[in-house]
Amino acid sequence: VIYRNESSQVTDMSRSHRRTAIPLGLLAVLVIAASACSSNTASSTSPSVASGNPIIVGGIGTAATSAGPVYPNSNVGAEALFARVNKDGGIDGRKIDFLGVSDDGGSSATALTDAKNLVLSKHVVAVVPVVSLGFSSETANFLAQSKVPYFQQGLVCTNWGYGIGGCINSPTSVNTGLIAPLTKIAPKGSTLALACTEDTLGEQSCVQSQAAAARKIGYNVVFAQRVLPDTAVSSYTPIAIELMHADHGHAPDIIGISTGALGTLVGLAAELKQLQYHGIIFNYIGYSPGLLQSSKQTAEALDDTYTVNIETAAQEQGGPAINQMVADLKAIGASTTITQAVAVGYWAAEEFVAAAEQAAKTEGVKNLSGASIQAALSGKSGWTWHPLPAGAVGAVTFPADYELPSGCADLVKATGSSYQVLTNFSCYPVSAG
Amino acid sequence: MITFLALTVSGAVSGTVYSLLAAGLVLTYQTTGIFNFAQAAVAFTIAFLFYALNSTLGLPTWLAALLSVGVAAPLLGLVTERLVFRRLAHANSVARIIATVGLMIALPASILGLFELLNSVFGLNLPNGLNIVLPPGLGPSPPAVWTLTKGLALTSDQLIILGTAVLVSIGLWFTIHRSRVGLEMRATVDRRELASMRGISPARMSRVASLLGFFISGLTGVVAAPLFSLDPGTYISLMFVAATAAVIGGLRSIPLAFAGGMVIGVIENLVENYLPIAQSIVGINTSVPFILMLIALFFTGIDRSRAAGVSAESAAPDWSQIGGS
Repeated sequence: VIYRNESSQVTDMSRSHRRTAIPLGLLAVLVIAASACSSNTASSTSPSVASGNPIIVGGIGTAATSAGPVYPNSNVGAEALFARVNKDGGIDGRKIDFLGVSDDGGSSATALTDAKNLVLSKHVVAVVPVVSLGFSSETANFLAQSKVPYFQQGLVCTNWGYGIGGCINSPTSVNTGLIAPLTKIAPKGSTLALACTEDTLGEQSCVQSQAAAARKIGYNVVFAQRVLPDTAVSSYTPIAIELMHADHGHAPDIIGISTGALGTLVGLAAELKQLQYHGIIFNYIGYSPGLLQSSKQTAEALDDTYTVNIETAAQEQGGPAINQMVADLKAIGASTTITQAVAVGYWAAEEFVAAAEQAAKTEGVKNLSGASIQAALSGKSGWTWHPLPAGAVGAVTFPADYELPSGCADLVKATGSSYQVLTNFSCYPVSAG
Repeated sequence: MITFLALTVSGAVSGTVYSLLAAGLVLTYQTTGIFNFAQAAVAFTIAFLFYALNSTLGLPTWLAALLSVGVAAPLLGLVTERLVFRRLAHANSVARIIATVGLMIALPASILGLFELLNSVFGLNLPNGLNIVLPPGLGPSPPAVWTLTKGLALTSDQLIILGTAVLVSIGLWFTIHRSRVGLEMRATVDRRELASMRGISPARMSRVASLLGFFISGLTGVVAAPLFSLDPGTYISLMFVAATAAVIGGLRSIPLAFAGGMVIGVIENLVENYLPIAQSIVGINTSVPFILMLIALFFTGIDRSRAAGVSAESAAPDWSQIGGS
């Protein structure tokens, strides 16, 4: 390119000024996971409480990360349940002193610090609830060393962790509950394509586990591949077209979008509709109170899609358990919208109360401690938690469910800006895989 | 054939987003010598501001667009140029890159911090999170969909992106080739010292380029937002693909960078469905731009500069020796 300036002086400037090097630096974005070494400061004996004193518990949660709210108000559910239990006299006469939920901001280091604070300074008997992205196996190990059980969502599975739905993060198990609710809308023998995430979890939990569950149910799995990128995609068209031709060039009856990223779910669902896919689209994260009201575009993309909703029942199901939750939330003046965080907090608290009552039967409530609770639950005869009232979470049996999920789920359909429960919360067979 | 068309059209739309960002990159690089990685953060920041004004505060779309793209983006460009770019004019390339990477991280955090502050002081309800999925853009929300034939459809958001690209291309071409400021920019690009001797202020050119670059980035952020989740990570991913387009343009040709972006978008889409081996390689289509970048760097990295200098700046030859021979 030869440019002339206004005075027509020929400069032949550009050629002489070609950059001799292109200063493109390759940027490596390093995520340094700051992990503190396991502390030896954990007491070797389990903390216990003096007779007549309240039973102290506190939780760890992730209210929000830099990417926005994650599990806000997880303290509300636990607070509502403990308030009712205390009003009814506590556990064999001992009240529960709930310290609230420490916000770890999604940081594993903060979660560990919070756990140390709860155990070493506050002398909690158990950590209730754990509704956290930052809670890691390191924190779980610290609690185990300190002989403090934790009552949780089921993401970090150890022999000291009591998930309200068992261990939901059990990628190798074959949990038919992840697929079985679909039989309400699609007969056995239907063709199914599963779009899985590209990460390792996608291979284990989706390509292997969910596909195995689908085959066990009787679906014809024609596609189960890792096609959903971890990074943002500018176009979902290639993936949508691949899925729409997954059944030997034809569209499968059912397409499952197995992702934890809402953006991916909404983007791909919108693209499938745009390409006029008329089959069933299902997912695992589309049920979230308030989501459909938050954006017309999201509501439009998810309209007529189905969510296999695991762990806790959708509020729209109603029934005694949901009614009790609503009453308890009202009693403490909280919002009666049951989000996932509220539900997990509530039922983790209920699970703890049941566990403490079980331990009190053998050790007596005066001697209640983390170790006595653990001893009562993990003995040879095991322990089964039957949530009261029943219907919003499934029963779990330990020690089996230290490692396995309960297999409970319901099927929810998004219609416009509201949800419709198609099958009530039920539990399905689970095998170790 | 329909599948091919659908993939090409959708790839062209994605490619247009890369092209727009690449145009801003090349423009800034040519006039300031700074490869502005913060371009992605600018796109995000302006899109986030637009979302807050439009969806949260309820301003009409045109007013929110005017305030965010027409006012905030150029203003941000001017401030950044004054506080950062001008001070880096004589810094080495490593310092320049690190500074823009710093901006890339700081800008999104700054707007979030600002919104939190405004929320707490004035009791507003501005968005405080980044997990906003498919936010509305300049068009209707949900977007209008035109089905051309089964398997081939266009949305209003896609059309707006394509239209924006056309307008920006024309605007840039006119500015650079038909206006005085464009001429001065070209002169500054080619020979900063010589242009300076002719009375062209390099600082002014740097200011104009930043203003234009930030405006284009902001506009890209707003029109592209409905295709993505509104979070900085998404925009930064786009930025690296746009960098490939800029490299294809040799970091100096906006039309080539534009074409490069489109080509990348289309190839990215076609690879997964038409390259049989790609289906067995996890993540191949997201890797395509970076494979293309390596290839482009191989060709554009070759030094083609003129070794002997030019008459305007080279020292005069020793005529006595030439004459004496």
